[in-house]
Amino acid sequence: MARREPLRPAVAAGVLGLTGFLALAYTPLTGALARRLAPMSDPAPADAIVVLGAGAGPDGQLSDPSLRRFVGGLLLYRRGLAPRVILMGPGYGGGPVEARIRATLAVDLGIPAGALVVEGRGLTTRHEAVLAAERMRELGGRRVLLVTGAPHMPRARRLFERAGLEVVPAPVVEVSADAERPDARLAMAQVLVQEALARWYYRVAGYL
Amino acid sequence: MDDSLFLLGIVALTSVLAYFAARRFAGLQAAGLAAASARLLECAGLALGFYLLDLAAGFAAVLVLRKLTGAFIGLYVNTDGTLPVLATLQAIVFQWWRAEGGRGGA
Repeated sequence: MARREPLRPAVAAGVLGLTGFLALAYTPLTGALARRLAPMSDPAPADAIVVLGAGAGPDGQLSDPSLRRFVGGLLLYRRGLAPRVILMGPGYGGGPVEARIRATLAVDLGIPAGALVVEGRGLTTRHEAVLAAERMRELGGRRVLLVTGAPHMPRARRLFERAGLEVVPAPVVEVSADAERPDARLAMAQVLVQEALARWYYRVAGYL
Repeated sequence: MDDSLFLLGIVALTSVLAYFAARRFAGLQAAGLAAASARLLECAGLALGFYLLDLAAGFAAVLVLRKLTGAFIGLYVNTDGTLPVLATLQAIVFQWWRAEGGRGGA
């Protein structure tokens, strides 16, 4: 086998990549970044609670982030912070509509059907903001308690404000910033990178 | 005990055991370890490069497909956790191909 020296740029990138991997997975760096980039805040009374979509499987099961947002929204309703809950989340490729699955669950859990608004058309956060603003114009009022994952909140908040709504952030924890397991830290890092890419794309596209 | 320290400790322990076993039973020289580490770093760097390339290509492909078909495809498909694994496989193949001198035939 012919011996060739390792590619220097690849070795340099490898040092960078492995150092980043070790720092993100095996140190508290990811948690510190999450606390800085995805701050938590206290909710306050509003005209409606808007629960953003986060996906459901073809078998009708809500994804873990979807369930966390849903529970977060219902808890705010139970605390009497708003009279209505707008449940969002589409169906993909003819699959079950996330917003409808959530509504069925909410009724099963004792939330009055009259307090629920089902909006299952929003495919992106930007689209959800436009649809929520339309619904709020119909319902009356413009102050909403916005429920989504903490890393997603800054982008979602900007979009909802651009759609003309007054936003009270009510972020939910989807991946704990205090996680000590390396795989949980990597999952958090993945969410942060994903959100950073989404923010970059939205800025380039002129949505933010 | 902290999970990170535990896991890193286990890996350090088995690495030390493997080092002594390789020297004693396989006759490997300690001097070769530095070259092997450089190969590992090269592979990791190539994997990172392929991952960024895959990510950029996937991002562009989703935007093009949305335009062409009108169907909605989420950009999040590109951040699937298996993509780094596939990028690593690409890197390994490239590295071995290069080590073979890019030769064809058997």
